[in-house]
Amino acid sequence: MHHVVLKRLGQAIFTMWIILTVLFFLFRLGLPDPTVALVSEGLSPEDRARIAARFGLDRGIFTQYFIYLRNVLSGELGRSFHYNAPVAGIVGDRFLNTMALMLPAILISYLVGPLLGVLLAWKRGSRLEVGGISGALILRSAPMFWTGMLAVMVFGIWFGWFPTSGMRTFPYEAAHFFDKIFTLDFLHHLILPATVIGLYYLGLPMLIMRNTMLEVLGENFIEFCQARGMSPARIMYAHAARNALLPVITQLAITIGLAVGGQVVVEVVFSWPGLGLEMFNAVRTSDYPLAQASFMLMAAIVLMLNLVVDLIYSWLDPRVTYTAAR
Amino acid sequence: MIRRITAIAVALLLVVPAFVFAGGQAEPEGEPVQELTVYTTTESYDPIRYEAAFMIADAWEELGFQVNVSPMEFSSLLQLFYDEQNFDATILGWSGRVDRLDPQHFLGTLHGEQTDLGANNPGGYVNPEYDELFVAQSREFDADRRREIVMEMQAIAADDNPVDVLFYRDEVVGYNDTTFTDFVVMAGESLYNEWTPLEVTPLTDDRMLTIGTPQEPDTINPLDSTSVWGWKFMRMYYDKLVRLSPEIEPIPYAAEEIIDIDDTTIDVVVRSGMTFHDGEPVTAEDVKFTYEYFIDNDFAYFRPFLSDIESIEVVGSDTVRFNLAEPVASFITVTLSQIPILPGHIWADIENPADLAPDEIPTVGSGPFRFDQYDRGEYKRLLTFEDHFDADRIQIDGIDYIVYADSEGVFTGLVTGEIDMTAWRMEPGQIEIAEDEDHITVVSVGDFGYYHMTYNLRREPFNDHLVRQALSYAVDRDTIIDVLLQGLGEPGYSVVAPINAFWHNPDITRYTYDLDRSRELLEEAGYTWDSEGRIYAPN
Amino acid sequence: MKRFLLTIWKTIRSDTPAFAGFCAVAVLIAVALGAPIIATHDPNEMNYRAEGSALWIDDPEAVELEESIVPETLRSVAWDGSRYVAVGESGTILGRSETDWERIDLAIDETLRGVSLSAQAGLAVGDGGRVLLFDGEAWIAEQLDESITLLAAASEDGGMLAVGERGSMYAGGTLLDAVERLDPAALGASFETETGGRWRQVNSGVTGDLHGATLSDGLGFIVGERGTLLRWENGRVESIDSPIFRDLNSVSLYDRDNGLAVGDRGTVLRWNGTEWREMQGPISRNIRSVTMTAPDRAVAVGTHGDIMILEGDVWTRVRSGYDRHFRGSAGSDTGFVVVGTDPYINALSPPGGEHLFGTTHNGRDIFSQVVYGSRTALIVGFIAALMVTVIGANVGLISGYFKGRTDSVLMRIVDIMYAIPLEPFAMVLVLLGRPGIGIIILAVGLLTWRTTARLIRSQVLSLAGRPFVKAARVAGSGHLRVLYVHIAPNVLPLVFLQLAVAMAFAITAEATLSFLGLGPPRLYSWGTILHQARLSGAWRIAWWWVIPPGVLIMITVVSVFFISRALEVIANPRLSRS
Repeated sequence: MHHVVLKRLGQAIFTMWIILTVLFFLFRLGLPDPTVALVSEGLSPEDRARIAARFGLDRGIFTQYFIYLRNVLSGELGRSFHYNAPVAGIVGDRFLNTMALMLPAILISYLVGPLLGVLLAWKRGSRLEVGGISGALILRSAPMFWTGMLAVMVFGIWFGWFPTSGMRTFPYEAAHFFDKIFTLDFLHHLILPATVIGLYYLGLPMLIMRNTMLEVLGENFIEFCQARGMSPARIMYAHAARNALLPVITQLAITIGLAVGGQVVVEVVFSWPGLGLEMFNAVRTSDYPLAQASFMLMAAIVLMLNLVVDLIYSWLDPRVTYTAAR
Repeated sequence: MIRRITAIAVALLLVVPAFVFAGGQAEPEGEPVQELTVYTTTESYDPIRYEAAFMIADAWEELGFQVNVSPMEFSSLLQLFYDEQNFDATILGWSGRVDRLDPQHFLGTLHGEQTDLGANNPGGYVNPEYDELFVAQSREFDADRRREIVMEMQAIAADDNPVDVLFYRDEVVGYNDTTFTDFVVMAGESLYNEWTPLEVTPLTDDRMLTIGTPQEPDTINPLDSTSVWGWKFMRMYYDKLVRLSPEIEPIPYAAEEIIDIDDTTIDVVVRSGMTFHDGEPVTAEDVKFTYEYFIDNDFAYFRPFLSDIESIEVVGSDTVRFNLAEPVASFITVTLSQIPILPGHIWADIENPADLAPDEIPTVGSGPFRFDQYDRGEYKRLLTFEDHFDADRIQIDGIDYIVYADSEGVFTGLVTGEIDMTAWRMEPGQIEIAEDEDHITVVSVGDFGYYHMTYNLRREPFNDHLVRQALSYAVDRDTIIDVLLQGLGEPGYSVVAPINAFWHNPDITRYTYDLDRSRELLEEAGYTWDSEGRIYAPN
Repeated sequence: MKRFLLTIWKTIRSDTPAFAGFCAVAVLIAVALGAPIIATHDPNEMNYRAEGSALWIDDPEAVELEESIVPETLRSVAWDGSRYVAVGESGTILGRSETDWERIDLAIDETLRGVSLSAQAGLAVGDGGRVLLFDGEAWIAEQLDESITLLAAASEDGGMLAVGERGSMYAGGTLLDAVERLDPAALGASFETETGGRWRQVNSGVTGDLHGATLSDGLGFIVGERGTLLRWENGRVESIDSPIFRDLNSVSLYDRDNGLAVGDRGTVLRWNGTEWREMQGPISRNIRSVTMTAPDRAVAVGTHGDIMILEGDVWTRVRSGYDRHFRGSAGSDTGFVVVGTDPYINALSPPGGEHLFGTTHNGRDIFSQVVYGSRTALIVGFIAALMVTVIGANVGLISGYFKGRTDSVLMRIVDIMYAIPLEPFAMVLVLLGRPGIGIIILAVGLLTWRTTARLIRSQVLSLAGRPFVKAARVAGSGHLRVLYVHIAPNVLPLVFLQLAVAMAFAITAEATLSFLGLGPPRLYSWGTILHQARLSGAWRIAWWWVIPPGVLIMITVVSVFFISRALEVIANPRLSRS
């Protein structure tokens, strides 16, 4: 077993290196010169060259690559061109902001979704099931940026119940990150975006749960339970559901992995200072250090979660989910 | 039989006129003009320039050109334009920063020495007469004489038309008129100028002025910032020897008096009794230190302002003397108004200010407000500095800055009352909504930055000034302004905007929309059209 | 294959939601194909409106719009103490003495640009040197120099002044005597019109266009381009040093000591009997017309519904609530009337009438945009889904069949794909190329085959050990043959299912990327429409701009989901509901 884990870990590290290398060359060779924006600030070509030199952009690309690898190994992620500050702090901040939004939304939907899924499997063939499935699919088909816009328009602007942008009201006093998010004001800001995300994510665990439940219900031990005269509710939630939960947990891991990159569109609509938007803009402005660090963080987390999921898979009979998040 | 004759007759009727028509209008020889590409920004970067490009392209097609509009991401566009000079015609803009009120910078974008890759004149316009005048004006200390030269340069540029100045877009901003009053409006900076915080009067108990911005400073290192967002924030807690008044006249601020001894010697008497926020006095030595520190550290952004200073000395107890290598027309308006006075006792120990980490950057200045708090990406706070010589007129306790993700967020903040004023212009679609809100007053101020269509003079057909003129006559500026800017802008003809009234030349050629005039000019340049209306270049 | 497709059809047919989804998709395909016919407008066309309207301002708090009196735009209006006369495009001339406008038919079609009424005379001027004279009872049409467009007119006590393009200026009626008394050498051409009227050209001394003229108590002013200010008295024209350089558009004198001139960029000048002084007004757009009805009372109008009223020394802005471009103004003792309107953008018009789903802030037809948007959604959805499925299915087949090192490498690539977020990846592609439909297809296609590959692989893994595969190998079939002839047909239902799921995802992804502004320029997509709505800032009020594209995305995606659920039953019979 240890052998397998070590082997997979080695593979993950190798994959990580490939990702870093591909991104490095893709960014350096594909993106525009990051100092070009300085021309419109009135800088002469010589002045730009000096700035490029300050960021080490005047060296050969392979030299830059090896310096980059060395720095990454020593935990040095570089300095953002745009913010003129160390990248680690910026990425860390944005990552926490994204998680503060995504985690509650995802967890709630993965809590409620499976419960509803069980209900659908239980009421198989009824109108409730048809309605429930259709509802789940409709939730999954309305794009988040659109439902977000509607939510802001109706609840933020027309009714004025919720703030329409940002994470908190200013000014505020906070010593550290957790001071910032454990407040009523933060909760007030969180409700709209988290609801929009949560509703979107709700459908998938619900459907997966229903599908696996139907499989589980066909198995022998359920009949055994029925024979013992257990109440249907007890059979459903206490016995069958427990056995059907694994694929949902697997999907949860994948969803969280993808959520690290944030939902750029939700961050745009709600002006949420998250990692997704930061990554998007870092690429847009050729801020290589920032873009590389955020891609790296996302890749690391996804690979780690993948590893965990794979290990779970290797223990269990693989059950296949179809409408998995991409 | 009859049917056949009819058929032949019909055929003849159809064919013969076609021949006659073709015969009457000689088919042009040679090749039709190749497809022209107009580069512009993407719609999300700037919907105005994006839409304008298509409107202009439609008009050029009416003249018989084949035009392809290519919107590009901003950084790609800049790279193509400045670094590669690989374009036919490009729509870009220059922002109206206060130091550009002096015509030096904008006139310089047409200077023949700026045509190298990466420099400011990517269109490649070279006119020795213009270049000579450019040098003459930058050395002319007498404002009226300099003005005459600047006027003449504008006239030359308008006729040669290497860059078609399209329009000046108004800075349309808004403020909450139920919370504060007495806002100051300034050309080019609108409400977000350095005087507004000094002048506003609160109407409620809330004595903190809250400003919404869509961007934040690139850095608060006063030597290293290259963006207006950095500058406009820092100038509130650093003082400068000269500030530009709301009427854009230089007025001594931290300086008591400025005496030009001669064209190359300028004495600045430092105001007495000033202190830094940490209690240390501001002295002439601090001023000397600051300028020398900026020169020694040689940051790119300030180099052009400082390059002509030969030496700085302290004369007497409170006077700093600047010795210039050559007369610099813009020394007082630009150089003295751009450099913040740093506390020598803090910065002298910092050997390499470029390496400062964000939380190591000193924030002690001597300005009317003092630095209090900065949460990157979210929030900044300045508090009123009670010991400042100008503190008596300040009616507020301080300034809160809220950073939003985009201008849409800023606008929502204004509508919901979260902020008292916006630091950035509204989009045209927001203006009308803001005007309908009871608590918002909308302010519209002309800008001296401009949007331009730059032709690549190295390429056909843009190497012919008649063609450039013809293309400019085909730009319907009035419609662009009316439709895209909601009427809040002004048609452009010169790199020096009309709002910069002293330097602007109002009598130069105006390219008012006139396709007939365009055709005449193209004909004059030897261009011809085939029967389908496609345009052919002269042989 | 035929039987397989038939099975699919039967499954869809028997499943109500899936059938509804199938019909919805069919309708969408029909809409996409027939877009040019179904769309009512060119989606890029900015739609204008132009008509002759009047706005009555008796009380600045309650302005009253009299909409579309005539289809022609009105350029100018005048009041002679008992009646209003308005003139406009295509020779339109309207009179109003009681409550209704009446068209006066003179059988001319030149656009009339200026009108002036006084006790003894009235005149209207326009294109092609057209002059209309009013003798107290009827209008007589005359013509001066045909090549000149006349822009404005002034009249007083039977004296008449007409000014126009390129500094052209003509005097007629009782003003002629004064003109002809001057140095004969300075006299311009004389015109005898067919109806016996006499006019004389006056040398204005300027070459720029003249936009406005006024006469009062023998004093007159003419204004024009680049701040041109001319003073007229006793037949003499004299140029005045102007305090401004912007175009002046209109001038109005109340008496010899009170006058106003207005121009571009909110310019207002006031005449106090000795000089013109700049005055501060509340409007920053161009002002087109001014009328002074008392020494302390005036109205000025401009574009985008701008109206301001002078009381004493202070101008107050009147909120008309209309985005029309006004041209002319007149005033009586009780109030003012303003006419227009030049073509204006039919912006943010709610649904109904000419625009089924309303219009955008640039007057574009949202219905047509939505119709064309279906093309983008389906094309991107289909091609990207095909790409995803082809790549994913092949990777899955090869990986699951060969296992070992091949599998390991391919699955690591899948891992990499999971680690790259879509939006920034698409941004990289845009920076490598240009924004466009191809970029979006590539971004979705290159990145999201990961799930398909994983699913197909696991099914192939379980198939590869089956007896029929071994039998095929023993019978001497090559690997490729086994893979594509024996195994592939067994995963076909799953591939089809994945195609549907991929399509639903691709449509959402396309909308997402377009919403971020990475969509193809000028080709509409539902995401682009929402992007523009948000970018304009108008989305918060224009619900009709936000709802239709979103609903369509939702319908399309949910339809594909319903179909894919039906396919799921074929692909995985264990899920069958029976």
